[in-house]
Amino acid sequence: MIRLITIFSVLMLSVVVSAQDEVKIEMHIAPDTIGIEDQAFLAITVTGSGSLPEPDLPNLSMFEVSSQGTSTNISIVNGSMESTHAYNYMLFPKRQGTFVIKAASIVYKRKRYQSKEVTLTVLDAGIGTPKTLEKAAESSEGENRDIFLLAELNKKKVYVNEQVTLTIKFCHAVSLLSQPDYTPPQVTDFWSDAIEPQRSYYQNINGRRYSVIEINTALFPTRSGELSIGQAMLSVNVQTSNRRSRDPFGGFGSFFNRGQTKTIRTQPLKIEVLPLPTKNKPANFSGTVGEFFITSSADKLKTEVNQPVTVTYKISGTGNIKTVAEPVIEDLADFRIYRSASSEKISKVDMVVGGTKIFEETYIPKRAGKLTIPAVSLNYFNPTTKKYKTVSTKPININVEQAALSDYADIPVPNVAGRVIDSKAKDIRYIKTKSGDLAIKRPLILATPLYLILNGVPVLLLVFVWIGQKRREKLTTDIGYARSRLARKLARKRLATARKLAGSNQTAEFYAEIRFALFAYIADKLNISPHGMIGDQLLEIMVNANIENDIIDSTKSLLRQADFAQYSSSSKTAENIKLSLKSAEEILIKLEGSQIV
Amino acid sequence: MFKSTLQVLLILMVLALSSAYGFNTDSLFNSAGNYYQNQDYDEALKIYLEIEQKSYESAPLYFNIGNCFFKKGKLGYAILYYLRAQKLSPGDPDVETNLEFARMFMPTRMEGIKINPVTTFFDLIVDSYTLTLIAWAASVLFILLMLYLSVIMFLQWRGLVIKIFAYLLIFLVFVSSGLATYKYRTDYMTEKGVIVADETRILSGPGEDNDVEFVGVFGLTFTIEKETDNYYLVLFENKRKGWVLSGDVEKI
Repeated sequence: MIRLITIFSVLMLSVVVSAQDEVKIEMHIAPDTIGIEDQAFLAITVTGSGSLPEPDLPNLSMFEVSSQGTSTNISIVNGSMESTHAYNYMLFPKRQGTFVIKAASIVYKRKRYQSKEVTLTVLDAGIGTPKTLEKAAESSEGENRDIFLLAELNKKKVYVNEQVTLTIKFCHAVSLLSQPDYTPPQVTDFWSDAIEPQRSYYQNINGRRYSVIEINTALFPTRSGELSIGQAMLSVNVQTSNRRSRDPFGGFGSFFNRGQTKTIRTQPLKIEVLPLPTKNKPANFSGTVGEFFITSSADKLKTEVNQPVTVTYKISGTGNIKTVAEPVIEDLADFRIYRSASSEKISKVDMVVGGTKIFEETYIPKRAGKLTIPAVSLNYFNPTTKKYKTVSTKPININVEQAALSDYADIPVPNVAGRVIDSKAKDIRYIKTKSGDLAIKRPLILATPLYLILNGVPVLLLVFVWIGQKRREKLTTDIGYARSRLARKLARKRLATARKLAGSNQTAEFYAEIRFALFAYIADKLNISPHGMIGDQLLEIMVNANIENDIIDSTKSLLRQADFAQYSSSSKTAENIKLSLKSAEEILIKLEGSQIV
Repeated sequence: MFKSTLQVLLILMVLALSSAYGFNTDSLFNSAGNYYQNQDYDEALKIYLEIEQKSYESAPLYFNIGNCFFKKGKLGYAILYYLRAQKLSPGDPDVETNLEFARMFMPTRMEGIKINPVTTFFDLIVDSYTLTLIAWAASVLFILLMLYLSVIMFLQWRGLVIKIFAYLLIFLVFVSSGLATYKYRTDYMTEKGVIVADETRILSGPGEDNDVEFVGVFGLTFTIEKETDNYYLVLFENKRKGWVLSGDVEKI
């Protein structure tokens, strides 16, 4: 189930994404001026949704090109997925001159997207090296250091919340024998945001070739005044330089060299932070500095009363996007307003921090008609022009129709404590005046004995009928079974007849009936014919049928009495007849209780 | 003799007590209604809750408690009691209307997407009826089937019409029993709840030191998957999951 929802969500997402296809390609080079023995870092970033192809590189035949790998950053903003792929290259110039690197391009869905051109100037050896680096490389003894750390700011004077970029350069001309342990500087009076990736390149400084690792951080001062940036520190185990060694076995030095741990620091930096001008400062200015624009869009322009409309406010631009305050939405008479969601996406293009911040507001119309969601404004201070600026969205017109559901009870003055509700809105329906089947909480009907009995009895009835039916079928189809089942009944009937005969002094008939009752019972039980059977046969059958000996003995005795009585009836007294009848009944009861097989 | 006399006496006592209680709760119910009419929602609510605390329940009682909470601005509790009323009397138009009206004040809704056509169809049928009604319907059909099978067996009825009717009854018994089982599983085997606090944090684990996944608002319903001392692991309708403080929610 969850998998189905996930697949559905992904499909829906892809539909949304495909509807909003937007691909952007950018190309940056740093630095833009280098010496002939230095390198420049070329970065091409492709941003968009979906599966993006690799960019087509421009003609770079005037350089040796070394790929520095790719990096991918995926973000989901407001439900839509966006990915940024960065392709990094190191350019090694072959000759001096000014080179225009043509636009990089990408073909996506049969459409070509192009970046801007960039220019790289290649000077004579050493000329492109910044003076600060040359100075930092020099030791107090006038020689070049093996390793050093340099901190630089791109500006000396900024406004509060304006970006200043701190660059820490770690330069080393000897091999590193361990991972550098870097401690960034303290920047307590700034918002800081790392600008990645780190850059690595080679640079010729004072005639010596250094490997440079560059770490950039965007800083936004939080107060005015002269602010300090602390020292950055780095510890690393390096190969010791053998240039001045007189050791005759110095040639093996590098092999046996265990290295030396060196700790290097930057100089603390100071920066002057100006307060934001008070002149022409808007009344509701919230401290946003940079350059921004704001747009708005509604998810629908036609709705019904009480049906929500989601308006998305998108603020984009350069500056500290994290501190951009949400737009001020005034209470409106025609709408109830709720905050739904907010999200932000930060971008760092060409070492400038910017991005997009999205706020979603839910507007629930209170009445029908053509209603307007008014424009929303954003004030910011632009440090480039040194002026405050106000940008606004456009008003959104919503066509609101009366809701179809209008059967609320017509009672006045809806009143919900602590909630804002329009006087024209309907109220809840009135309470129920009848308590209904108000009763002690009952257990579930499924678990009550009544329910179980009620459902169980018909099952028992069906079982009973089925058993009866089966028995009936057997009685009609299985003669042996039928005779066996009826044997007792018939025997009792015959004994009853014998009793009557005894009462009427018909001794011979009495004994004949007794005899036949016993013969017929055994024959019925064993499904054999009683006709023509003599006493010895009956006794033999009883022995073969595993009937107990005492029953056989009793039967033998009774049969003897019957034989005797039949041939000399006058000698039998009434008492003897009674005893014979009792004996016959006892034999039948015993036979009934024993298994005859 | 003595035993049967004792049984009769006990039955009479139970009847007398139950009638006395019935009278009492009805009069309490009516007096709460009067307070409500005079817009004294606090007093009305107090009496309704008193009745509920005596383990009495009915859809009108829960509906009226919901109304009192609504008037007091406690919309989370209002939605809770409307849902309890809906459980006892599904399809009641008053309950449906007030529930929907209260939900209009919710800042966010988390409605799930119903993809499975079978469960969607089952929901469509069972949502309008109580479990008791569905269970009785299934029971009546089952008893009819048993009696019918007994009769045709006993009287040895044969014929196509007899067979068709038997299969029809068997089919109806299966459907009604299936619906009763489904209703039982969804309404009673699965514990459901609603957020009653205005806002509550949905956490990644049972404890304050866990990350906040998102903020839930009053009226959001969920199923409870696990319980610890103070937290529930809950699954919302849109399949988002997290831990919520048990004091901020109520079981329906």
